[in-house]
Amino acid sequence: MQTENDAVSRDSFWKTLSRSCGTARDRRNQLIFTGWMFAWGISWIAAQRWLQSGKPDGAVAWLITVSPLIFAALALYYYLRFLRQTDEMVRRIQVEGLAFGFGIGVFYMLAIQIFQAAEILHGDIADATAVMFISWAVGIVLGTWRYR
Amino acid sequence: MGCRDRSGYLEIPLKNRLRVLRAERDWSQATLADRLEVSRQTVNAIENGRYDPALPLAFRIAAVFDLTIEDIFLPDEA
Repeated sequence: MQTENDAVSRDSFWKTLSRSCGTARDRRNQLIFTGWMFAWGISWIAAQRWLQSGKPDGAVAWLITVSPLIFAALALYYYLRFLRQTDEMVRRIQVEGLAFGFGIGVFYMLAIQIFQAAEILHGDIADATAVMFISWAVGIVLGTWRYR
Repeated sequence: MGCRDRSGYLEIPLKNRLRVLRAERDWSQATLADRLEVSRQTVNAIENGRYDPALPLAFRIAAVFDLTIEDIFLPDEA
């Protein structure tokens, strides 16, 4: 009968990915971070729509504009706390993912400007945010694969 | 003893006795991970030679097994 001690082969990719949340503390920190990210996304979309439709002014406009930034700051704080408290290998995977996302995002921004100047492609530089987020996630998956 | 990897960094290949030491104590990877306060994935990666721990974790591993770092991590001279 095979026990966990006998499991000498490398984990499968999906098994690794499903267990890549780390320790119980990591899972808790990731859950809190994800919650604030979700709140940030929702408040950002809501603020955009509200500002575009009603054009509120004064204190209300300020409140609508600032509220997504508060959620963003909280998400950033809890992500940094997760990075500080997680173990060194998970931190390395996360940092490699961030470097990958940042690199691809900058590459996209510079490339889209050149393509627009050459009138070959008409992309939106604002899409760089989405490109960064997606490539950050891809970077983490690649890192998880590498150290599985 | 070292060799350069594809990025040009000097790399000293290491092997470790983590799996053997763990098996001797009949610990699962999860048990060892709990004792080290790291993820099970990290223990798995170290055992498979995919990841070499930094000094603080290497010292913690040595302390958990009541051994020295040199007893656990060895230069891979093969």
